[in-house]
Amino acid sequence: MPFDVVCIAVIGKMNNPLYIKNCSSTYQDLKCHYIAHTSIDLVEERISTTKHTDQYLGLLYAMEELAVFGYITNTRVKFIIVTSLQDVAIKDQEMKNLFRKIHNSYVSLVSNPFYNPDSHKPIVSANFERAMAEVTAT
Amino acid sequence: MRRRLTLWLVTAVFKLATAAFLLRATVGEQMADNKRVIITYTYGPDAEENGLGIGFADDLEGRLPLRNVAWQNPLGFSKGNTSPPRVIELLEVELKRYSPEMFPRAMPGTLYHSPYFLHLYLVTTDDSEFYKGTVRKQIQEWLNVVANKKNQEWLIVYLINAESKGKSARFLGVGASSVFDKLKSDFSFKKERCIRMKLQNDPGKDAEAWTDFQNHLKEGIISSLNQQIIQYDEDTRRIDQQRLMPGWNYCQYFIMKEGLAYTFEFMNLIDEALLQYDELEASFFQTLAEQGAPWFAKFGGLEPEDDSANILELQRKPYRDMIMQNKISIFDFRVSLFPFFREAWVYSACVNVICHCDELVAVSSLQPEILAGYDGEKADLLRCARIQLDKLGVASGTYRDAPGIGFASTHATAPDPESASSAIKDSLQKITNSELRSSLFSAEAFDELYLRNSICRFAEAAAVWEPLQKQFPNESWDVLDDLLAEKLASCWKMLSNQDRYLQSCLHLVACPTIATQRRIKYFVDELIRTSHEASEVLHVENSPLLHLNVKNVINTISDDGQLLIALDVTNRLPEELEFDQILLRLVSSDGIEFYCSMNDIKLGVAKSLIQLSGQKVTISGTYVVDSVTCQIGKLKLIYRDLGSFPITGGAVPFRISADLPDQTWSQDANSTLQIKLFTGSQALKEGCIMITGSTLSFPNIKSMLFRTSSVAETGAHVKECAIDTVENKIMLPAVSSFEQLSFLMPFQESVKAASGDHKVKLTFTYTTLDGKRHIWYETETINLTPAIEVTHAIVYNPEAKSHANCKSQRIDERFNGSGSVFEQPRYEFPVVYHLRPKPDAEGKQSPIAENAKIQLDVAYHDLDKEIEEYFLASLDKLLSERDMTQYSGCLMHYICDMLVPNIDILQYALKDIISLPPLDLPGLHAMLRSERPETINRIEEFLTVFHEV
Repeated sequence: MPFDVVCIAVIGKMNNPLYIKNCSSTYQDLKCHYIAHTSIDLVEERISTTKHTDQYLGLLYAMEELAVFGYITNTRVKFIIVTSLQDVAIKDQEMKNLFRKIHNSYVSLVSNPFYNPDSHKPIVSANFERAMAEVTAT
Repeated sequence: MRRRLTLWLVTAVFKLATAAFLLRATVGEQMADNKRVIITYTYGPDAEENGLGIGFADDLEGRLPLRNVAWQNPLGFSKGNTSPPRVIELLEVELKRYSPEMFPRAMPGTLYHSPYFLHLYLVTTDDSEFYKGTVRKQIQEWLNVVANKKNQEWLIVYLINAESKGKSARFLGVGASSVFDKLKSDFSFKKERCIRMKLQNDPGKDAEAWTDFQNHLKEGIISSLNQQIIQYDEDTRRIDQQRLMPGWNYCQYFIMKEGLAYTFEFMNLIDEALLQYDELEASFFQTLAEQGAPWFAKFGGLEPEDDSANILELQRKPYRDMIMQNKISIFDFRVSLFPFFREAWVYSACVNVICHCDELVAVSSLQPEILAGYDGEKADLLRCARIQLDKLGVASGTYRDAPGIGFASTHATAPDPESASSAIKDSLQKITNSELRSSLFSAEAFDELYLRNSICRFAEAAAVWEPLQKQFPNESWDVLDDLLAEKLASCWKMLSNQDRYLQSCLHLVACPTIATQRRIKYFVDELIRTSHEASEVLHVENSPLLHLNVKNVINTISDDGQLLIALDVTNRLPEELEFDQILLRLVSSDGIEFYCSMNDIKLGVAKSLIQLSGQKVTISGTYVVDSVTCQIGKLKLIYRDLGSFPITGGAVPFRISADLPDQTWSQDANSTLQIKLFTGSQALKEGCIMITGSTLSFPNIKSMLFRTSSVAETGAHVKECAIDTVENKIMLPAVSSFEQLSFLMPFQESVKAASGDHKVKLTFTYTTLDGKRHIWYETETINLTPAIEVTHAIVYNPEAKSHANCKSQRIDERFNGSGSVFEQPRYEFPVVYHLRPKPDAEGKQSPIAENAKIQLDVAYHDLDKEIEEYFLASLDKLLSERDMTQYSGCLMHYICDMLVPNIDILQYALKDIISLPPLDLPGLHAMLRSERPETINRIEEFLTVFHEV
């Protein structure tokens, strides 16, 4: 992967944070929370202004040295990936693949009968955690 | 956009530049001196000698600046909408002696914008040979340099003085070509680039020549300007189009655009320049939104004093050169050579801009709307500066608590103030802003500086934060919520709104999942401190700070018994908490309240069990734990509805009875009740009784007469006293232990009961000697039908000497003895009695006077009363033998209510034997339900013994 993932966030359909992982050592967790929260607006803006057919929402915004990408599932669960900006351009396809991986992990999480997708509690699944670590590692 | 709260650093720096510029334009201040159009001049080899050229340069300088330069924007033209021609009223021009080295070297592929607009070459010679031989060559050399400069105009000035005028004319006359003609033919290609100027050293005559010359200058400058503008425009447009291509660099675009702005600025066209900056800013944010800012990767900022320099001091460094050479564009925010450079630089920049702008604002008369906008920008900058101060302060240790740190920070952790190592101190010493540096090593100086850099409009800030804060918990963004609460807390603190501050602190300490230990400790300390300082009581319901659970309720039945409630308290803080009081309120379904409390409680971390105590519950029923109030200073944490508990009331050690008076006249209708109060082992300090009945009505009486007698010694000292009643309550006098208080209460039978039974409820509220207040209910059934009805017939028999009727005599004897027993109700019992005159002192009987009244006293008592009294006496005896007198109250009630009604009275009446029913264990347990198990066992054991005796 030619870029570094700084943060992965999963945001529930009620705009509640389900999972926020800070993958970097340079940023505070608070920053990740902030970015994730801010991106909700952008996601809402995207899906309300244009008739989106693709789940991948592309680059939501760039801020300082960070770029924020969004993805929304049919059940309105949002995935946010924050990357650090580099000179190389990030290809949409790579980003899409990344999001698809997260989506797959989320689907397997939801398939767990003991997981309540409507609970506003953060995700604590070890499997999901592992999957996210893999996503950021590759 | 509600979520876009943060103002980013870059934005701030940009805005400040714009703000400063705007102000500069508004106030119309001429900025830096070097922003002038530069005209260079070169002397021909001859001009240098004859002094004419030197005089000319001085003269020219005296006639500057240029005024009323007409200009039309070429860009406006090209777009089709003609921009109106403008007049630049004042154009500062600087004259410089030409030297080939004066041009900075331009790098290939980049555009260089120079302050040079026009180059002059002064020729004075009239010797055409000399011209041909030397001057022309030199002009050619000069032109090689000058004409190759892009967008710069040149002009050859041929100076003629007064004397040479004639000469020249003469030359013309003979047709020989003059030097000027040669110049013209050599160097004027398309445009008129050679001008002739006659100077006669006479101001009046020269004026015309000068005006002419100035017009040439203006023309040249404008031409150069327009060329530059068009060039810039083309370049920027080209770069703009490449925006989406990889490797596109905003810096280049910036240079172009800024170059244009700079050029305008040179021309004193400040509004045009501002327009460029505006476009630049818009474009900056657009780019930022589209692709981030990869061009910020490489940055400088390594030179000394970089961190304290005034950002508006554009001359301090050749910024534009550096930008050109792609060595620097702004500063590298990520990599800095020594720590704190960034903080110090941003701080200095912000403070400088604010100072500068403040000065300008002070002298300008701006409209309020603009001022409001300015205030906003200023606040952003101040905030920016303050964040830097936070960081520096924490690093140096002068700023102990930094709850606000890290909002815009990208540092992983803030350094601990305690451990500000010498390395940090050293790097702090390198900060060149002396004011900032000194403040970092002294707490007072730091505080002062800090406050100065705050706008301190906390009220407004709080008003903004508050609604925001309410929104977050709904979406469970704990981290952000926490942050807001903290901001709000600091606002309230500064506003010294203790009430709200307490709430905020509570909110903050209540969700300790995110916060660090140190921060929680800070806020817990703040919470405790503020709650003690607060002037008004603050009630907070169901704070998540504590979790309460009522474990069990024990109501001890002994006379001095109390209500004990075990409460499980879970302290959710990682800190020990000290409560002044925990007060628990019990409410029964009838609305009777009981309180339990405990003072000065230290709650450790996690769960602890505390025992609250209060006065014992005297009335059985189901009680709801209505509220538990935990108090720290003025802060009251209230927890409601902690379940309901059935509580069996412990009896009071007093017994109240209401019945018909002991002495009644059979003739009288019963209209008074006698109420008796027996004190047991406890004395009564004061009390009151309320009597209510559904079928009896009690008139209001003003005062009541009480009789107090000792139970122990019958007939001894009967005290009497009268006490006024208060609102239907019969106030009781003080009664010592083992006494009987009685009084008569008049009543009226409002509803006739068929059986003659009436229920009366006595509500007895009293205070014992130790000051405890109790309440007790007693319901009594009163039979108004007289116990005995007497009818009599008198037989006059003066001769009678002996009792004729044997049966009567036997009864008579019994009467005189232990008394008679009416075994059954409605039993008619004939008694014959014999009236005999009372013998006098000498034993003589005097005859009964006529119409003398004879009184027949019938003394009787109920058997159950007799049994009751016997039992109570033996109970007291047994209790004192076993040292259990504290239970006399409850056992007395047990005997009266449960034992005596179950005794076969007939058996006692006929055989004089009392056979006790077996011990009613379930009944006893029901009575003792709220007691401790060991007490129940003890009483059970005691009663078994009692039954045996």
